[in-house]
Formats: sequence, C-alpha cells, structure tokens
Amino acid sequence: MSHPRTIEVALPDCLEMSADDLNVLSTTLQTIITLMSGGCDGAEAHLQRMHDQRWTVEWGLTWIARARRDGSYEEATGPTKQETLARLGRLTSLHEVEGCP
Amino acid sequence: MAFSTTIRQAYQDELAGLRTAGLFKEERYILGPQGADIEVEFPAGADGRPVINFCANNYLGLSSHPDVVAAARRGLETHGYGLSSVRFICGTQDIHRKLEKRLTEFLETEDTLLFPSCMDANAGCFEAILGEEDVMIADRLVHASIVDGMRLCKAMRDTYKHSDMGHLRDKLIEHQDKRIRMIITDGVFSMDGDLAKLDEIVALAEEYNAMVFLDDSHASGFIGKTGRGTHEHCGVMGKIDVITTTMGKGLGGASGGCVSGRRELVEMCRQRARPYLFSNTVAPMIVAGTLKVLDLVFASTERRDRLEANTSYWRRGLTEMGLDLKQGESPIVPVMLYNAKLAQDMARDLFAEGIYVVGFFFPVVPQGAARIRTQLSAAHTQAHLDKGLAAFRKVAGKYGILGKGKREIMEMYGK
Repeated sequence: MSHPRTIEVALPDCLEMSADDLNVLSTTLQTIITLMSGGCDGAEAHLQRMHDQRWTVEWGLTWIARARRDGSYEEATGPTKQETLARLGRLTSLHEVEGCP
Repeated sequence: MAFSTTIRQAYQDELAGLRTAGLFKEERYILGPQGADIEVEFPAGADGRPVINFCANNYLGLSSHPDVVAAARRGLETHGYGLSSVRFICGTQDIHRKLEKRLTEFLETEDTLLFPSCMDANAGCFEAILGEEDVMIADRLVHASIVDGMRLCKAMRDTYKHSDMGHLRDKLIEHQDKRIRMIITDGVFSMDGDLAKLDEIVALAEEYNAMVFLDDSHASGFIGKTGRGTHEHCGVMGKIDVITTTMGKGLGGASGGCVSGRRELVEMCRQRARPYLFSNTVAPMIVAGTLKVLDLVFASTERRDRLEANTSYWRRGLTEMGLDLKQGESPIVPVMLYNAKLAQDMARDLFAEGIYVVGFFFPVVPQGAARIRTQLSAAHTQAHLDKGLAAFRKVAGKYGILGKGKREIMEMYGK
C-alpha cells in the first residue's frame, strides 16, 4: 500500500479540547492501531534484523519533547510529560551561552 | 546536481543572516610568528599593521620561543613529519610515550593519553568512561567541547549554576541513585577568567561519593605556585580523577591535548575514546616541542611569575583608570562594556591604536554582558603593558565610560 489510510473522528462542538488534549487523543488512537497491527506494518522485521545483529532492543510508548534555539537542538523522552520536560530542561541548561574559545 | 541553485541560495541566506546579526566571524591574518608584537593584515588585502597582541592564549610566551622551535625542528629531523597512522596501529613513537609520562609527572596524576586536541579529549572521554546508569553534573559555563562530549555520552546530563556549590550539593543529593556521579568543571573559565572552587568541589565529591573532571586548558603551566594548574592552586593535587588540558595554549601553543588521571580511566580512553582511536597521532614535531616546553616549565617558575606580575599590573592599571573589570586571578581580564556595539567599536578603535583585542557579545556571552576579553602573556614587557593601558585610557575616554559602572554604561549605550 503506497499511502497510509486515515480515519476522521467527529468531535462534538460542546467538547472543548486544548491542543494538548487533541495531541493525547491522536496519540492514543495511533497507539491502539499500532498495538493492533501485529507486525503487519513491518516493525517486526526491523526488530528481527537488529536481533540478528546482536542488538538487545527494548521499545515502548513514551513522551517526547524537543527544544530548538538558533543552531541548538535538544530532545528528551520520558514516561510522563512532567519528567520529559524536566529532562529537556536539564539538557538545555548546558546551552546557557555559546561560550568563549 | 545535489548542490542545486536552491540549496546554494539557502546557504547564502543563512550566511547573510549571520552577517546581519553581527555573528559572522572573519579571520585576521598574522604575518609572522605568534608573539606579543605581531603584524596583522585586516581587513584582508590591507597593509600589515604592527600591533600588540592582547588576545592570544600565549600565556607563557612560549609559542615562538627559540628553544621550543629548535626542539621541534630536531624532532622533525629525528622522528619525521608525520606517522600516517592512528596511535594503536603504527603511530606511537618513543617520544609520544615519553611526553605522556612527562605530563603525568607534571600534573601529578597516574597516567596520561595524548589526543590531537583538548577538544578531542573532551569530545571522547565521557563516552569512554561513563554509561547510561551514570550522571554527569557540569558547571553551566564549561567549555563548548565539554558540552559536545557530554552530548555524545549516554549518561544522564545535568548541570549546576555557575560555581554555585549549594546547587551542586542539591544535584549530588538528587542523583544518589546513579552508579557514578561525575562533577565536571573548567579550572579557569574562559569567558570571565574566574577559577573553579575546586577545593569545595572536591569536598562535595568526597561527601557524596562523586568523581571530579577538570578541564585545565586555561591554567596548565601557570596557575598554581609551580604552574601545575587549578588543582595546585586549590590544594587538591592527586584528588582530581580526570584532568584534560591542551598544549595549544600556555604549553607552547601548537596543538594537541590529553586526558590525564586515574590509570583505569585513562586506559578506558585508550580502549574506547573515538577521537583517539580514529584520528591521527600527534605530529612528532609538536611532541618534541612540548617536551622542551615542559623542561622549561619544570626548570623555572620565572615565566609564570612574570605572567602573574603582568596580570596584576594590567588589572591595577585598568581599574585605576576607571574601567569595569570582571574580578579574578587569571590572566584572562574581561573589560565589561555590556553593550555589543560598544564592545565592537572599542575593539576596532583599539586596533587602530595598535592594540589587538576582541569584543565578545551574545550569544558567546550572556545578553547584556558584552566585553572586551584581554589576555596577558609572560612575553608582554612593561612597555607593552603601558602602551596598552594608554590606548585603553584614550579609547574608553572617547566613549565616556571611564569611572562608569554597569548601570551608567547601560544608560548611555543600552543593553
């Protein structure tokens, strides 16, 4: 199949949803689909290839946060939004200034 | 063609953006060897202008010392131009191991490993000795090469506020669940010229069972009573687990760096540090030159003593004329101007007066903390210093900032 199939879900007008809420809903639905796929999406093949090359692979669902400023970029993952942002905060703290040679 | 017109235009736009933001770096050509008196071609194509250099890391004035040049020349003749190899294949000569032993003796550590630069030493060392169950806790103003090295390492990255020992303590407590805690600091911070509180850091490391990493690039050869570095100055020699430093500053100024410290940690770098494993060995000429530098440093403290005296004289002169300095003990003496344009304009006018200095401003230093960073050398004579002070008095007088503090300068020129 050349294009991913998508579905639309109608949200009632009375339901007030923030951008974060929509993100959570979208991610949750995607997660359900991913777990239902049973390897038909090729993920198992990737996993097998890495196992064949002696990688020990762990995978799971996670929060991700990214920070960009000028040429700097940092990315953190974590089990909760709070912890992920805390991790990102620690990473960006190394970029207080560019510093002198 | 991959490098299409569109792609070329995107790069050109990005470079134009750097120019517009005043962040475009232009090289100035030095017509001759490094020293206190140099001739500089700037802008490119202009006639060479004789200037006094107050912006080099030539702290001990050894960059063009005749004994060092002669030793390097002898090394070139006896050991050749290059090794065409990494160290562990066929790139280690007797003099490489000799220099490592000499540096170990100098830093009073257990072992040392040479790297092509200290940038490489810092880039490779953390990944080689720490894993994902560990944590690196760095001062927020450590050198960019340490930041890069930390980003290459899988251990957790964390920071403490610059030289804030209370904050460092909090972080050490927070990370007690980690296998290894490594505190990471510069010895002398290149932006402000201030020294790490290494005695307090070591005390905290002992209290909370942490290792200490020190980059002493702006200290080796002249900080401390015999120039061994910040660990000597702070009375903690033998208590630092990893020291990285450069031969590209006080110790001759050519290039090359090293990781020195606990035998096992150095050996881990020899086995796993990728810049060591995958880049060429340090050229024999530089190794031979650095061995001579260490001979000179071991033989006498005369140069570091002169540097100390020059620094005191310079600081006193600038302070007495009413300039606002960052306090410190190192030969890095920042003249605070707060406004980026003022720093650039004054550096340009000082150059016209025959004084070579550079203005630093955001993002290199924090917003509203623009400055001219002056750096002293043992090669500076009284006449150099007096000429430099006279030029600063004239140029600072022109801009009306003599006797003015931060608030007044910012009122005059803005942030």
